[in-house]
Amino acid sequence: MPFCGIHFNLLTRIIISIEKAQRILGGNKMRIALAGNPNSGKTTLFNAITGKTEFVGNWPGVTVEKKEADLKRKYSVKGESIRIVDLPGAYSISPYTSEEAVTRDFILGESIDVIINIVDGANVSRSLFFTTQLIELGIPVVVALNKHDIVNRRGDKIDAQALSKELGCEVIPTTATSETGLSELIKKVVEVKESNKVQKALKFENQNTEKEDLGRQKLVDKIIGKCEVKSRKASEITFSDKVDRIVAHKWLGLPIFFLIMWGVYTFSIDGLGGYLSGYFNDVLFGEIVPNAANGFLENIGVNPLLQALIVDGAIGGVGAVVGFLPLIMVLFFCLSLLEDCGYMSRVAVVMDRFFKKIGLSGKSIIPMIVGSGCAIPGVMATRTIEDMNQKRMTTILTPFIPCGAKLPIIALFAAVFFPTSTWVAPSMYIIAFVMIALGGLLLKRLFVWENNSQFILELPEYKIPSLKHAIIQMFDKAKGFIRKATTIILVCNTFIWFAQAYSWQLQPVQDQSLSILASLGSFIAPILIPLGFLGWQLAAATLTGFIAKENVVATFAVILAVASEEALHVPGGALTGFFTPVTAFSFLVFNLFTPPCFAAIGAMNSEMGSKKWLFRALGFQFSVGYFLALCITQFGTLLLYGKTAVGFVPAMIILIVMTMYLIYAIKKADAKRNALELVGESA
Amino acid sequence: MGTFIIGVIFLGVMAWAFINARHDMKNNKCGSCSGNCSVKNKCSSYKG
Repeated sequence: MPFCGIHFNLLTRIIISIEKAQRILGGNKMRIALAGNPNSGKTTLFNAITGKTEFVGNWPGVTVEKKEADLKRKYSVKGESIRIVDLPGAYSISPYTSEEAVTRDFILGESIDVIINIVDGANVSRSLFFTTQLIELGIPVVVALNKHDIVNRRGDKIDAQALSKELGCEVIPTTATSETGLSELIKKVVEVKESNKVQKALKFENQNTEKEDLGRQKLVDKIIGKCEVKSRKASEITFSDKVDRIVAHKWLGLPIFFLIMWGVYTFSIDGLGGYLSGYFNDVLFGEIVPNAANGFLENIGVNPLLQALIVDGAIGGVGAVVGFLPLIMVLFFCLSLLEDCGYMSRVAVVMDRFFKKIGLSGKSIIPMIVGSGCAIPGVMATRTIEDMNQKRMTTILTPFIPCGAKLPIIALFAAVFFPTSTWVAPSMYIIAFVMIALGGLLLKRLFVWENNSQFILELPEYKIPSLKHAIIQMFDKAKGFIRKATTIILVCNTFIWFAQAYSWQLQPVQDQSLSILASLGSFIAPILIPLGFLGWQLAAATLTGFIAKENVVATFAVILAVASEEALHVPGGALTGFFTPVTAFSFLVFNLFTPPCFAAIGAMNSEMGSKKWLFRALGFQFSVGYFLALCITQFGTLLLYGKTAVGFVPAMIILIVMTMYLIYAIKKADAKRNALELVGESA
Repeated sequence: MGTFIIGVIFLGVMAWAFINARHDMKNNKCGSCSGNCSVKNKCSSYKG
C-alpha cells in the first residue's frame, strides 16, 4: 500500500505541475469567484487585488453584473495566473432578485476553482447563512472576514480560528479598503487549490426538509455563539442611530435631503465647478485654444475651409462640451463623498414612504441616484428591484433625473439667462423629483399594475468618506466624459459643421438657412412651435441631443459660432436671440424630461423586457417633456410678460387633446382594473 | 502641403473617433457613454 501511496502522490504532483504550467502559459487560468452578501465589500476587494477601478458604493446592490479581471502582479503567488470574477451580492443561493440570479447561475454553471466568500465582519450572523450554502457546493471556499477595521473599532472580537474550525474552511481577516490581509488571503486560496481539498458540507437540523432555512439559521447562531464576542448590547444606541434619528426622520428627512442636494449642486454648478468651467469656456476654449489653432493653421497655409472645419467644427463643438468638465468633476466628487459616508442609503429609507404611495419602492432611489451620473447604469440598477411593476415604473422615471450629459445644457442656460440666480440648477432636480412623484401617480392610474412588494434595505454604518475613493470616481467620470467628447461628440459636430456649411448639392452656402442642417431642422421645427422654440437651429440641437445630450450645447456652439460674433457662454450671449428667459427654462425642462439618448433607450429596452413597454415608456417620457415645456412657455409668458407666446392657439389645442386622451386612458385602465377585480372575486 | 498633412491627420482622428463612436453606439450596455456612465466592464458581454 505505501508503494501505491507514493505513486499516487507522485501522480498528483505531476498533474498539479501540468495544471500550473498550463495556467502560466495562459491556457488554463485559476478562476476565483468573489461571492458574498450585498455591501460586504466584494467590489472594493476586487479593485484592490486586480487594480481595477470598478464603481463601488456604500450601499447594497451596486454591482448588478459579474466582472472579470486578472490578479494584480503584487498579489501573485509563485507566478500563478489567476482570474478573479466579482459577482453581484446575494443573501442566499436561491435567487430573489435578478442580480442574485446572476450569482447563482455563475456559481452553479461555470467552472470555478475556489470561491472567496466575503463575509461582512460587522454583520457576521447575517453573512454566514450564505456561507453555509456555498460550502455545500463542494467547491473549495476561503472566507475573507472583511471590514475587520470596523470590528476592531467597535471593540468586538471574532475568533477566526474557531470560525474556521466550525465551518471547515480557511478564514482570513481582511480590510479591503486598506488592503490588509489580502496577500495572506490569496496565498491561502492558492494553497487550498493546490491541496485539491474537497469542501465538506455542514450538517444541521431539518436538512433537506421544508424547515431547512430555520435549521440553517440555528446552525449559524450556534457558530456565532462560539466565535463572536460583542462589546456592546444590540439595544445600545450608536452614533449611527443618533444621526439616523435626524437624517432619516419621518418629516425632517426629505427637507434635509433637498437642502443637501441644493448645497451640492449650487457648489458644483454656481460655485467652484461653475467658476472653473467659466475659465475653461471663456478663456481656454474661448480664446487660448482657438487662437493658437488658428495661428498655427494660418502659419502653415492650411486651406481656410479646412481651418474652419477644425477650429469652428471640431474644436468649437468639443471645446463647448469639455469646458464643462470641471463642473462635472466637482459634482461627482461631492456625490461620491455623500455616497461613501453612508448618507445615500438613508435617502432610500426617507424616500420609501413617499415612493410607496406612488407605487414605487424605496429601492427606486438607488437607480435614480446612480442615474444622476448617467441614465444607463441608472436603468441597469433597476434590476435590484424584485417587483416587475416597480422595476418598470422606475425604469421609466429614472431618466428624469438630470444625468451628467444634461449638466452642460443646464449650466449653459443658467449662465446665459439667469446669471445672478442660484436656483436654476437645483430647481431642475427638484422639478425632476416632483415629476417622478406625479409621473409615478400617473403611471399607477394609466396602466394596470399588480401588487407591490415590501422594501428591506440594510443600512451601512456611517463612516468618514474616503478622499481616494472620491478622487477615483471623479477622474473615472472625467475620463468617460472626455472619451465621449472625443468620439461621438466630435463625429456629430464635424457633421453638424459640414451640414450647416453645405447645401444638399454639396455647394458651400453663405446663408445657413439654405444648408442641409436647416432643411433637416425645418422638418421637425413645426412640432416645437407650440413650445415657443422657433427656428431650425433649436430643432437641430434637439435632434442631435437624442444621440448624446451634450450635443445640444455642442450644436449651438457650432451653429452660432459661425453665424454670430457673440460668445455662447456669456450672459446675454448669442443664445438670447432664440430664447426669452421663460422659453429658455422651458427648453431646459424639455431636454430633461423627453426620452434620454439612444444608448439609454437601449438599456431601457433590455430592462423592460418588452417592446410594448419600451414604446409606452418613450411615449410617456415624450408626453411629459412636451406637456411641461408647453405649459411653462405658454403660461409663464402670459404670467410674466402679460402677453401670449408664439403658437398659443395650437398649444391650447394640443393641451386639450392631451388632457382628453389622458382622461380616456385613465378611464380605460380603471375599467380594465374593475374587470380584473370582478374576475378575481368570482374565482 | 500644409493642407494635405493637416487633412490627413484630421481624417485619421475622425476615423478613430468614428470607429470608437460606432463601437460605443452598437453596444448599448456600455453605450455611447462608454466609461462616462461607469458601466464600463460591468456589461455582461465584457471579458477582460
